[in-house]
Amino acid sequence: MSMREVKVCLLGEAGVGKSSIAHRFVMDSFNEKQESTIGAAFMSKTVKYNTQTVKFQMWDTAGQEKYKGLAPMYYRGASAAIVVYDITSFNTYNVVKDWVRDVRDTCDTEDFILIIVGNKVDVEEKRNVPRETAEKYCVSMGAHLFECSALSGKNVFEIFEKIAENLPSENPMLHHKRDTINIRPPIKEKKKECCKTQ
Amino acid sequence: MAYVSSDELPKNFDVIVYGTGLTESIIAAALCRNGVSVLHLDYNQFYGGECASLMYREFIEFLKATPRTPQTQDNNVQSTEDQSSNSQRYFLRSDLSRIYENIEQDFVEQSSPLLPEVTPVTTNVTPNITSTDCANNYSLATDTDTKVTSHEETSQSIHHNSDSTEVNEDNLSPAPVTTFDTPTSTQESTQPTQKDNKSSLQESQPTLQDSQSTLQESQSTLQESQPTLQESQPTLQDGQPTLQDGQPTLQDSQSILQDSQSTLQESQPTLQDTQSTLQDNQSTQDKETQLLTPSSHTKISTPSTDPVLSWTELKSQHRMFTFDLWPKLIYATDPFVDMIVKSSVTKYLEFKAVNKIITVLDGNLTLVPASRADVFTSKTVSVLEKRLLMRFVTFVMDLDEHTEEVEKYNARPFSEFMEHMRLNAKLRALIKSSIAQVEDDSLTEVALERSKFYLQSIGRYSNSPYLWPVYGIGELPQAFCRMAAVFGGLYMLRKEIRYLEIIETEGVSKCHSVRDTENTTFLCKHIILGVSLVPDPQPTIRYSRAILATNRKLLPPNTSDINSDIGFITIPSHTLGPNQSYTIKIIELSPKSQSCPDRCYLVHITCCSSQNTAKADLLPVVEFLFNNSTDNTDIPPAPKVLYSIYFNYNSTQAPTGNKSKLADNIHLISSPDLEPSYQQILSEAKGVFDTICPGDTFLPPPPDPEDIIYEPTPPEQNQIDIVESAGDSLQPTGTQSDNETEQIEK
Repeated sequence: MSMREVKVCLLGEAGVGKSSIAHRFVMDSFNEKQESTIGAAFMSKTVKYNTQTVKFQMWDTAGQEKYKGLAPMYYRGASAAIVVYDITSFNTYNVVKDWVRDVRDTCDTEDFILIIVGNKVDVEEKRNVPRETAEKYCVSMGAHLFECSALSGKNVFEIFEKIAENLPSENPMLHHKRDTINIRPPIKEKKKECCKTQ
Repeated sequence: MAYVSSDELPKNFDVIVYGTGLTESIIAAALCRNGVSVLHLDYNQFYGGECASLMYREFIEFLKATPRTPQTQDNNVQSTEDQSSNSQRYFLRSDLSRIYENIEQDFVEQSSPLLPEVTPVTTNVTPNITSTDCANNYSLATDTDTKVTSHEETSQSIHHNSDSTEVNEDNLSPAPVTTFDTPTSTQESTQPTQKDNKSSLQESQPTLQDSQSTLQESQSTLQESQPTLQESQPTLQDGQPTLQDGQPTLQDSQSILQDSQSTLQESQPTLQDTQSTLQDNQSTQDKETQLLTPSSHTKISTPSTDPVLSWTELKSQHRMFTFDLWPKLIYATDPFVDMIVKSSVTKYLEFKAVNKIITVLDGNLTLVPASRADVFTSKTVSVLEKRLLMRFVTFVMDLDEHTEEVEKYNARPFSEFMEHMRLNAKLRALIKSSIAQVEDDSLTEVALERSKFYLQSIGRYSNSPYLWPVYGIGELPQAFCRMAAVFGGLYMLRKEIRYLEIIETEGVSKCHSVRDTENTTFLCKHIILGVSLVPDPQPTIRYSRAILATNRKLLPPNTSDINSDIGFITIPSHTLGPNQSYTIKIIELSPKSQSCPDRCYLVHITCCSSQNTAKADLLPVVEFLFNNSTDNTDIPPAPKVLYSIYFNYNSTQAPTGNKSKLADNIHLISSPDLEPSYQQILSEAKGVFDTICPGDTFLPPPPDPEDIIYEPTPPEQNQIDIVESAGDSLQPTGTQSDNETEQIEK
């Protein structure tokens, strides 16, 4: 059985819950006090989908998105992007379009999976972005729409299921990875053992 | 994108780093890693400054940028009017024209390749055309929305156009119309593009004629290239029946557009990587294509050994070109490599080996044996020479054991030492140009140190001594900036500092704050910035640079294809005549470097400047290596230049200690140089870090190694065990947190 590594970019306005979604997916937990994304710049989780094992590497923005500072490196080799907005804030939804444009500029491949996620459905009563509005937009952009709650966990796993389902049959990242040189610390072997114990 | 308004911005930082060049970014990462609060700004909208890797459009706009804040002040240091008299304003300059000069861009005329934005029409219908016609307008700037700013860049190509179209337009254009009696139901997507391009082309034509000098220059270029073009005419006819064989025409008639669209369809199957924009239509057109292809291309069915690039491909792929402003290979044993490994910055980076090293011996390109194994199998050197070369290699590797022998040659030319080693002329040339990378008059100790570096680097990560980052050198500063951001650094691009506020208290001057162009003030204890932004004159090193796009890799004669992703070619000084004062270094990037699209090569040429312009320095080498046609089939055909740009780069050197005269908390950083190693960058970064955080560790390994997963593949067996059912749904099979770092408590 093959193991696939899939890089997923998390995008969206600061404070919409990008990291919370990643946390919910990776650790199945929610940290209410999480203020900004310092410390965890990418997390990974291995899941099994049908006959495939998929290792999701979730790249968080490390705050570089706040003031126009997201580097192209962030998008390199990504298979999917999750653009998050907050359903209680129309402003965060409006900004989604700018992110989508950025993503399309950088990751303009046919296989690229674009997912738009309205977070915070746990506070449905404060909703400001109608689902239909977002749905219409997603259809026009060829994106998948999810409404989820990182707090309750609702629909979070489904996002990644969708990514796994839509992965192209061959990993385009392999295209150049085959011949790259691995420059990592020589203590690598020891680290490997640490992971095994998890 | 919406961003937090400036009001919410923190205004008080320990350190402000201005500019995201490599040295600045390393310092920012080291400071953030050490718990220092850092605001990292750049006036560009991209990372990397003078080390950036840019997309084509960005690159051109960057080079041609006019000064953003024209300096009106005669004196850059001004006492403030409305504040206490002990305060001064130190205005920065952001005049890039000081750094990049003499920019000359050519869309070189060729019979194959990067074809025009304007309507192409297939060749075989007009067999009597000359090559110049199809060479009319090469442009990489294939964005449909050719902006005013990019007129200049297309100008030269359009010139050629105006030269030849007048003559040929009339008799050429009708031909395709009559020949191609093809369906007009075509790709909607391409049609507007062609129209747009055409209109932009016409728009820009007047502006071109304004610049008479450019016109003359391009005409002379045209004349010069005529012979080459005629020589290459057979190639054109032998070429594959693809779009690039086509003839551009400026005629605006809709029928021609339609014809060319059908041409587009025809060429589809011959493209190796079908474009996504076109693919949608392909299935419906396959049938037509099959019908059309035989009839329309029977004349040019000779198989081509070297498929040329197609216009369709490059048109949509021009964004895949990444132009490095500062192409510099990395020795595998460079302390810089140790640093990025130790600090885990490598997790953001991928590298490739430079697996083809070439130099010029006796006027011919010659493969340089890199590893010991290479030396043994090399056909370049004889058995006796192999022995001598191995003796030199062994000697240098154990340099410490030969200190006495070497000391005698200290401060003496390396050539004397090589004679002492009984190396013959060929080996001396080989060692000097490729292994030691020195000039004729270089000193023995310098050359031996570099040779040692080179030889020890072989085999560390690969058989090659050099590494090159995938996507270009610009990834390096980005990786450090990311690390800095992960550790709490605040990042803002397109933020320009107008002046530094310097306050004198008790006879000591300190930079107290900076003011940006939006009149926001940020307080800081230290400011770090590139010396090229400071108005005071500083010593500079001037380099000549060229970037070419070619259609083939460079290969020495009698060499079959070698599997090379990245090549490094040195042309020793005076190889190309007495005017070539310095060694010319060339880096050839294949598509696998992710710097150019498939079947195209990006070539970076660099040397120390000795002539007035970069083109004067480098044109001889371009003529020597490229565009040579020969009837000799033993010799691989020389690559053809599809596009070229020349410019001078002035690398400014910071004063010793990196301190400004005005205040000792203003730290000045040298512009990156193009010497072989990264040691200067590293030592400057370390030096500045040590000044700000004395006694602290510079970029230590990440705090909790337990949390870091370097090798992302846990054994499969593990996962299968955990998975209970393999249904349609996503099954978590264990989680790992790759918390790269943890917050530093300080």
